[in-house]
Amino acid sequence: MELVTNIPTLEMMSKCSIEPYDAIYLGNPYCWDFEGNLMSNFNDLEAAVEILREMGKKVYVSTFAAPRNADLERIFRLIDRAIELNVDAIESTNYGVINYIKREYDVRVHAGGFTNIYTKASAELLASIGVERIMPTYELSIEDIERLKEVNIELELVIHGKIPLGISHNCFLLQFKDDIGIECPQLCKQELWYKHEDLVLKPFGDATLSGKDLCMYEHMEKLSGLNIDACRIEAISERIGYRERVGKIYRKRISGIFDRKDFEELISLSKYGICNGFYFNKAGQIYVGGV
Amino acid sequence: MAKIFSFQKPHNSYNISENFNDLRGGIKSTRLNINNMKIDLMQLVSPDIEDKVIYVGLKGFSRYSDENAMTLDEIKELCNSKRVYVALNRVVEFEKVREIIEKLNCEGFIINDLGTIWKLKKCKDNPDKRITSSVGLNPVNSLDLEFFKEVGVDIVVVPPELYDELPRLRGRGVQIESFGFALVEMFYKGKCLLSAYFDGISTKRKGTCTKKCLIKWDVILGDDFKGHISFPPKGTKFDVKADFVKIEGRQFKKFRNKKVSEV
Repeated sequence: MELVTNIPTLEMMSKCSIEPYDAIYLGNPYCWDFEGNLMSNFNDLEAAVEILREMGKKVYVSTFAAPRNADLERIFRLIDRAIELNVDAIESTNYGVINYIKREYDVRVHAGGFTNIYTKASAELLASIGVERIMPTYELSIEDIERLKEVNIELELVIHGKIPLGISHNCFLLQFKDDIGIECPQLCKQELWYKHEDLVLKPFGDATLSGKDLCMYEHMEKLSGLNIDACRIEAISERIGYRERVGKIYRKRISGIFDRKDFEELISLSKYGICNGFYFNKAGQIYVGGV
Repeated sequence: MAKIFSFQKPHNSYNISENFNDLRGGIKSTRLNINNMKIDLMQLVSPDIEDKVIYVGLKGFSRYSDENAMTLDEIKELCNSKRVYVALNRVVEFEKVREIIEKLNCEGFIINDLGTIWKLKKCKDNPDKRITSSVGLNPVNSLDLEFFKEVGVDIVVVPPELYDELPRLRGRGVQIESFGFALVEMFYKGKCLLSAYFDGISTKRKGTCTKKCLIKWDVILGDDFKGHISFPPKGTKFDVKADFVKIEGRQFKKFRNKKVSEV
């Protein structure tokens, strides 16, 4: 089972933070203007690919999550560059872009978590056009995911991190810049939250993420039973040390080692606590203890 | 006094509470009484609705409207006198959708899962049914429309946020349905998991939404309180030219509890 994560910029990429992983998704799919975004800084993208190659890691490139017509030219340029760099796969969450890549290029395509893959029929449709891997919509339970395994396509699931809960047509953070006194693109590097009693959200570019960290550390055996192909640490909005620590802990966990101290460290790394997402047919923000 | 940040309004936006009847102009209510059946309409496609196409929800399969949605038998009866499209826009597995479709002799269906549409179109037993892809599938560019056409979609509902881009989306071999009046929400329609995350209610699969976007959220920078923000849907009128024009609002009581005679 492949352990993967995502890194938005070259600056956020240290060898320590990459080491625990088998593959890395490069680029922040929620904002073109994110400072140093590997989706739009091709010199940095080339350097990042070189580093990953030297370390023997697979390289995946993310594309913008909800591309309107005005975004397509930039996406085409990104795809061309990614192909030149001989990356291992391109990730998209947009049906039109996914179909375009499979029609025009000979490259692996991963359909990301916002592609709206709820049913076996949609997994079959994507397999029929040659998509190699899918991440089902975040709100599927383990039982729902079991049905998708009947389709001949790789499955990737999030096992830890802040899950995206919505995509907007604009960035909510921009309206805060005058009051907070921080301009784009530095603004989204701050720790901004929406809170209401115990409900928490984290705005990040055009996406809004869960305030809690999804954590399946105690439940890895249940996911292993699904025989999934890859598990992802969602770290797109996190500081550099988070990716390294969480990756090391899950690398051990995948090899079968359960350590209560590791679990406690995961809890301590999450400012607003942990949850199980949707795997157990409950509200996504609830945590169910295991083991 | 705490700063109140405002959710960015699209142009032409109205508060939900005002001007709804004015916005609707000559278009009749979302609730009609035909053949003595109360119908909570998905949308209206023509001011002259009673002579044109009617969209209805099927109980258990339609978003929002179970209270006023119709039974299979009621829809069958309606199909005898009207051109009817049935909303099956909660996401369920293909087999369930196919079972329903085989029982209904209507003109078409609205479906919220691209794989299900693809499999239905491949079935040789339903060649003439017209399929509308729900706005929940979130087509946002020309490549989407081209792919939806390849898959077998006849009519694509495009998000209201794409209002300005309609001219560039035409000519892809599919008909376009666009919003004449819409509630522009916190997220693109079909891309919101807030209800499922906070309350365990999947809007896509259960049809309802707990509207957590309406909460007055504290904005926190680090640990410092900076103000409040909420994301109420903005009722917005669009002067669109599309093959079909959709008038939204049935999920809010304000818009729902009107009868034809009151409009």
